[in-house]
Amino acid sequence: MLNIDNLHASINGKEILKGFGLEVKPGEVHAIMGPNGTGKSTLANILAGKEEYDVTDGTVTFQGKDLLDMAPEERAREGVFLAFQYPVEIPGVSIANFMKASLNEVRKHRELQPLDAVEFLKIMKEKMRFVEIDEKLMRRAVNEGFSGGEKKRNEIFQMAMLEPTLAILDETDSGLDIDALRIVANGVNKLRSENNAFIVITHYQRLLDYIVPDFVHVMYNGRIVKSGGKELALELEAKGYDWIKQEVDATV
Amino acid sequence: MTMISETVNAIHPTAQAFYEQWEQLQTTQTPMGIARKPAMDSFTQLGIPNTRHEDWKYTNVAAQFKAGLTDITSTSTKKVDASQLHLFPFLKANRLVFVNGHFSPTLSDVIDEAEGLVIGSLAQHNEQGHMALRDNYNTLASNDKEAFSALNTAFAQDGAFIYVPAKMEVAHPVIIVHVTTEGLSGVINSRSLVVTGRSSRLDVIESHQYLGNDTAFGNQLLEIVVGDNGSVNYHKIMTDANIGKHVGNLVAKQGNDSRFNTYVVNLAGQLVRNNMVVDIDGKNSEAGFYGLYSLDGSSQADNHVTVKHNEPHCESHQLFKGLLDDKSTGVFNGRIYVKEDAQKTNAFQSNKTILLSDQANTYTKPQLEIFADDVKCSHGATMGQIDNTMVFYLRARGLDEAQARAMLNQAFAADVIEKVTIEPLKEWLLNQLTLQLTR
Repeated sequence: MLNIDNLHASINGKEILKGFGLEVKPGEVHAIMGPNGTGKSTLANILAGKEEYDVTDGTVTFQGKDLLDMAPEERAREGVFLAFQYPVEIPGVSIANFMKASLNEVRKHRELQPLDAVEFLKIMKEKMRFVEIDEKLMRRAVNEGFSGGEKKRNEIFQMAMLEPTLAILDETDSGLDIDALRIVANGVNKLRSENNAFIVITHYQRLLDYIVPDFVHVMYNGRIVKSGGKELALELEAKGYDWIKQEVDATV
Repeated sequence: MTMISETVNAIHPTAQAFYEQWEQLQTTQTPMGIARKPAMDSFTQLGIPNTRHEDWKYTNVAAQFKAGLTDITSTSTKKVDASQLHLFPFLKANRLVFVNGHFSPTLSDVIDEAEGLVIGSLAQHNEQGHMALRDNYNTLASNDKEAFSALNTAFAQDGAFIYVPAKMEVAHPVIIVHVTTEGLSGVINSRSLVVTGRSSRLDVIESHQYLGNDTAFGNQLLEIVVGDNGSVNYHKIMTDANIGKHVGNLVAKQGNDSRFNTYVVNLAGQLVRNNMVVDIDGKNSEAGFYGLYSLDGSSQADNHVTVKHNEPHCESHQLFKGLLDDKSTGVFNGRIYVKEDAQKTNAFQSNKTILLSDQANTYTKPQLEIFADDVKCSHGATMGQIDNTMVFYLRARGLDEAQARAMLNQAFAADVIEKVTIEPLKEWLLNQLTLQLTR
């Protein structure tokens, strides 16, 4: 589904990704962990199409197509979804209007009829229950005045609405209390199927108790330095990252 | 005569022509007639303001007059058909239509009738000597300082007159449609007066419509008296793509415990200047000024608002937003004046502008003059571009860049229209905004 090969990327002349590679198949959940500043969020932003980054080498293929060649909106329509680490507040745009426009664009791309107001409302209410968001929020402006937890749940709600093929969760768990974390994780688990895949970027092993990954990768200095099963996350939790850093630095 | 013409000629060459036309006007011993001479004298002293005048720094009206606006009294006999106008068919309302400043009984339709209520022509009630007109006509206009007020008072022939007696709530809005026909090249003066009694309520919607692109210059003056415990909402709708050059003076006075709101929606216009001055002359009253100017091409909108807090325990809000594309220009000048006795005043002012093009211009000038010591007053002005992180967020959900920007622009501007309380009008305005932003 997704094939990232030897990806090099920089921002303002500073190289952040240094030969990143990853293959994701349908039905899989990949966790990417690692210390701060190793390029995890850069990876997420590049996959979503943020234009500030310069990709200097490497390829990203999504379902046989060159992902890097697509505009951000094309990626979204093709089924790539990024749950933002810091969701932006958009004053004056209600969640309902935003999601209606967004969902209908995605549907158009999939050659489906646009939803009428009644159908849309029905789906929206259903998905709101799914992430336990108060229906009152849908009339409110996107993320405006939301608590940290509400913002993150709103991201998962949008994911549920758009039903992506590949979802990237960029530190969706950071700053969440245990209840919000459980809600977010349940949302993701209900969406998991053999046709879609998830890349879960996180600092903490805690989230992976709820969203059980098939693979855990450790990212350090712009690339993956260690991969394993879900037990690797527990090992990292117990031992920290220093031993990995030492391992890597010793081989250089 | 010679002396006057010399003074006038020094200011602008077309004034001589104005004076000659003014001398031909029939002057009667009516409120409108009596006011003409002092107003003309004042105009000849003031002249058309040029850009050296602080209040007209960014809006060059003098250039328009230099270009030969000489005709000020001509009456076009052009027939206008209702099908050429937008008469807000979605609203159940009273309609007063004025063609080139003259009342059109055939196009007008008054549905609210009650004892004492007047919704009609100013000229007609001036002749008939309506008491409220006698008492209030030309009492708010500052002809000694404002050249266009003076010019209007000297020349205006007609406009709307609305009188609402005490304790009457006018059931339906009064829509005043000002139509300018095609092919005119002079000044069209239009004069209106609204007087509302104690504990009354009124909604006024004024719409300016142009039948074709013409070179006429509209000079409008509206006086509004809001009675004690009364409530008046005034809407000025300038959405017609053909709007030309227009100066509008709104002068209002509020009594005790009253509410007065103005909503100005400006989506087009070669040159539109709105002067709004309200005197809050009663305690415990509220005034609101909400304005949107969303412009493209080389349009210009200039809003000058003055709120005078003359009494204690009052509150005022000013919110003006500009969305400026192409080579358009937006000007906002908001003044809050708080008199020494006007303690416990709350007065707020905000002007926000988004520039959509490198060639658009915006000028903003907040002025606070506070002489009381126990007040809450604030002002703020921002200008900038749409935040790219917002655009990216929307694009990451499947909207293309144009859609994303249109959605953000609409949200920014709609904020002002959302203040409108007449639901169908609000919906219509939001639609007009969408049309304007996507055209």
